[in-house]
Amino acid sequence: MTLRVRIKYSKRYPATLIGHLDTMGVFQRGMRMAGWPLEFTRGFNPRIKLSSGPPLSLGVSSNAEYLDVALRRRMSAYRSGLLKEKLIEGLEVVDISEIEKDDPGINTIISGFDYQVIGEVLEKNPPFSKCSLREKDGEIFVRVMKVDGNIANPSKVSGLKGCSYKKIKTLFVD
Amino acid sequence: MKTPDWEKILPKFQLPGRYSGGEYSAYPNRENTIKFLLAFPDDYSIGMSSLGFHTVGNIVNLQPGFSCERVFAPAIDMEEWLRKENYPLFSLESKRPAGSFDIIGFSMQYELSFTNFINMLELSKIEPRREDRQDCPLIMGGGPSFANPAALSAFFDIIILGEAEPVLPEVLSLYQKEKNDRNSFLLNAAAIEGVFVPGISKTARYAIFKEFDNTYFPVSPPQALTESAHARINLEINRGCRNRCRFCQASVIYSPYREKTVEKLMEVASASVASTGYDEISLTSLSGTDHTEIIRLLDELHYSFRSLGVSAVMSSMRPSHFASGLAARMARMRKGGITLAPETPSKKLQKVIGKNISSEEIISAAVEAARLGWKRIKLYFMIGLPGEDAEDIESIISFISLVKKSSGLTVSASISPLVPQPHTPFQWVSAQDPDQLLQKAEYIRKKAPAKVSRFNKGQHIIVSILSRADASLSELLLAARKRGARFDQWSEHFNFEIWEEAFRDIGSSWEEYYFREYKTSEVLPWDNVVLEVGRESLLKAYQKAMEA
Ligand code: SF4
Repeated sequence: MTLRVRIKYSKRYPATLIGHLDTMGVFQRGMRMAGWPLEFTRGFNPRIKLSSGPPLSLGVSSNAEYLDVALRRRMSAYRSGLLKEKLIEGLEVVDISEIEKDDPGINTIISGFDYQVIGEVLEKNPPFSKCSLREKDGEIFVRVMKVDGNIANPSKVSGLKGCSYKKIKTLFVD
Repeated sequence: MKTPDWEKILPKFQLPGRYSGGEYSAYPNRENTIKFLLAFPDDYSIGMSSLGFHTVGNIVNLQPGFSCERVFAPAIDMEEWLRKENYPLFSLESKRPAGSFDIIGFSMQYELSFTNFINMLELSKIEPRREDRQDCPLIMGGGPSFANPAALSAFFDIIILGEAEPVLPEVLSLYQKEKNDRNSFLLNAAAIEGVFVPGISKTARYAIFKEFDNTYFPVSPPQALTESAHARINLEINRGCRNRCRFCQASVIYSPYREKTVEKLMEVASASVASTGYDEISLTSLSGTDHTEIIRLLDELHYSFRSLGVSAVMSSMRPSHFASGLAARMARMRKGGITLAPETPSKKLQKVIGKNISSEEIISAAVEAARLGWKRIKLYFMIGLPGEDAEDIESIISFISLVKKSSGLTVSASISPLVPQPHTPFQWVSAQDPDQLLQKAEYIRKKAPAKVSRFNKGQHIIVSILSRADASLSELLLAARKRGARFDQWSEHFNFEIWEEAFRDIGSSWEEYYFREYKTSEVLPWDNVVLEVGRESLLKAYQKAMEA
């Protein structure tokens, strides 16, 4: 029986210093250490069946990142909870939920992201079309939507110079 | 000195994960302990895949009253930032300045990291020369580079000679007792077997860990998060080698041969898999397939870990093992190609180096490998051997063709020049003209039906000189460093002109050192290091080689 599980996690410093592939590596190792009943691809180099949302840029924190993973069977709450202890400083499991066999993968249902702008804005230019700016209580927020299957990096499209970003929300189709 | 806002600054550097700390099993931060900074004079990715480095870290952390942190040679962009901000080199774990630690222990493993070592002291605002220092952390050294401590002695307060396991705990306990009296500590430490105190010790024994089989093992060392390529468990299955190829220093300094039992190895492997989550176990050793129970070990690893998606890999093997069913076990792993080291197909030169793998053996191994499904084979050859002539070089080319024709495998070859090393029977011989070596390698590269990797001439020259260095060359290291040498192991950073100028700075030339031949009647710069394998047996082997 194959089962699919969706992990929602957050990423903060110092985990923000490692890239996307390395982050996936940490989850794979964490799930192994926690003894999850992982499903592997066939062949000489068996791999964990895992898919994730779009990569987060280096140095950017987030409170809503996702990845899907295939399991051979349902596991106890204890075992699924064990993953929390097997990650590194700055990576935190927010939620683990089972998804249906034929549910679309995480990558297809994400439609965009909301970022909060942090730091001093040196220059404000009109943003490119893929993104919109919003100000609330003196804070600046940027929304970046998926276009042609890709979601751009906010620093590339927001029209703001000299600042960095914090991902605060992942948007889904519908 | 203001503490920088690391969260903001670090993302600006390339691969910032190498400065962050906080990895899996990063060392614990304990208060009120003696602070030991374990330093590796090269990039994070290299240091973090070194078993010797982790072994020392583990020993220090197990020592009551001590805590260990790590530091690596900062990449170029970080070094520039440190210099610009005038900020000292800092540890990964607590980000404390290196100079504020009680002890800095450097893991010295290869010659081309020596300038990084000096650079790291400078970046820590510590004078490299021992005699110029005052009120500084104790600068400790260990690792295989100290098989010849002559040139490095000027920089270290204390040197651990040989394997750290039996020596370091005693040295640390002594330090704890005498930490307020450096001189008394050094005097007493010099009496410990396996310790060399520059300026005090006359000779010292190279330490060997006798309880190798029963040893504790760094089951869960800190694990690199960046550079995923090295993400695997290193399982040391044996130490030393039963063979005695005459160019090989490792087999001498790790003598006698020792191995861990399959039971112990399975225990270590299970614990490592559970605590690291890695999916690959790499069997590390000088000559892994010589382990007496290698087949049983591979079977047990295979059947125990298969369902967890964990596989074992072993890179090189001896051809004679192909007959014994080992190849079939290795075929199961099928990661990458197969590697064999014939060194030379010439019967005459095989006698000179004392390694006698016959060409027939290699060929039948290659044929068997092809039958079992391998596609590629890598062959290691050595050139510049004493007594080598044009025919011997031709024989490498025809041998590569023969392997290719009879097995159908894609062949790649690595041609490396002989580096005469201390404590080997070749310690007395003169190195061959580097231009000739390069010509020979180029000739093979053109003629052989294989992808042949080159060697870097300048790096070869410097390695050869530093490996048999005498005390005068500490000045060379300082001069090269002053002129900007660092990361010499990296061909993109290595600059031979710097070294040529550095030789001029000390009133000499590289040729003077490189072509040096030692007489058997001379006292050698590294004769003060006493090994299990004595000078007499080296001399006998040397004479045998010269007769061949
Ligand atoms: S070259 Fe290899 S086989 Fe020969 S002595 Fe050294 S480790 Fe052993």
